[in-house]
Amino acid sequence: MNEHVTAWLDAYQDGELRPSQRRKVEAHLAECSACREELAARQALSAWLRDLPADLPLTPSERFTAQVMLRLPARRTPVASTPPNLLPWALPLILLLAWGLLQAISILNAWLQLGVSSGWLSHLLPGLRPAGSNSLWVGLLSALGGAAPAPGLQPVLHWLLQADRWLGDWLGVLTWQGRIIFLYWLWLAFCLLRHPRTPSVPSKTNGTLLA
Amino acid sequence: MEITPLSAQDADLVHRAQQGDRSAFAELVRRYHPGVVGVVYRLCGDLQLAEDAAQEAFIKAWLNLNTYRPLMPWRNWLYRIAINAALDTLRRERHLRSLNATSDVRDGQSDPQAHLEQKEREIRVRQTILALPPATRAVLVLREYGGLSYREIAEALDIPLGTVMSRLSAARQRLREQLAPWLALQEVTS
Repeated sequence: MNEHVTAWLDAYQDGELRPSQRRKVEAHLAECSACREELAARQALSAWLRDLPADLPLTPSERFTAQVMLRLPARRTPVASTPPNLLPWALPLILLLAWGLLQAISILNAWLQLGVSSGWLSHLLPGLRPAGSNSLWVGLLSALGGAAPAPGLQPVLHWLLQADRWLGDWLGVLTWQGRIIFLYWLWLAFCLLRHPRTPSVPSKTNGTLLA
Repeated sequence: MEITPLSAQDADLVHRAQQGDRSAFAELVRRYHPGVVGVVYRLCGDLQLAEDAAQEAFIKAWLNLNTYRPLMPWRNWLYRIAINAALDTLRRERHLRSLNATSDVRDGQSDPQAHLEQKEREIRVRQTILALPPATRAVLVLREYGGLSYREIAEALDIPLGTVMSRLSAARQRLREQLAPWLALQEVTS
């Protein structure tokens, strides 16, 4: 190792080098007087610094402690050991899934309407009723299954169709980006109502000075 | 690069303090008061200011105890708060108080000449340290007077390990340049 190890000397002096690095530095120091002198100068400086009087005339610990305790606020909230609140993370996911479901219904419905009105779907599924019928979904199921769905299922299918129309009326004017923004605002409003601002930044009163 | 573990007794005190036990916190204050004041004193060069900043630090520690996690040694966490409190105080005051007010720490020495030289050296060293930029000074003080490892300093000041090394190296280089005449004199006399 012929190159000087000046850059390593501080860490070497402080015992901060890994064993392999330390061995390299020691091997170099054994044969380089310039680096030995450099190290000696650094050690002298550290010794000098640490030789500053440590026996400061401190306020006695009992008095200092009493002064601190007098200034402490009456009571702070103990650490709560409650499990993490998953709702803030789950809600956007639920909203997104709900939005996706409604979109899928809407797209599927439009696709069915198109298929029925153009005739090719009616050709494939003769039992399907014409476009615009309130029981399009019922007709589709009947065509696919060869029989009318169970009576209990009919209101559900009817509701799906109504929901799609409602969506078409109220949200159809918005673009899909607008729907996402709407859901996001809804989420923000929820968060603000649920979590009033309580900053709990611990110790770093000024990050810019030390960073 | 060893991390100082939190002693079992300290861990118990911290845990009780986190539950709101004031007497446990008082014990922590008693234990760490000299260390915190010592480090802050090296940083600001004024004992009164150091004790004020240490008080502020302990109060902030109490207020933020619920954010403390034992992954970081308690001492480092406390030093971090104390150093920031000291820098805040210095910034508010916008000046450093006279060093002479705090330099007569070792009165009563038998040899007046040696005492004078000692005082002069102390003042010079302190002035040189105080002339360093605050961020660099904080690293130097935590290493030389706080005894923290590089990794602990990085954690305490929330800076990368490489920054600790470069700042420490720069601080020492600056001190060696500034104190060269005194260091040379010491070599001659010793």
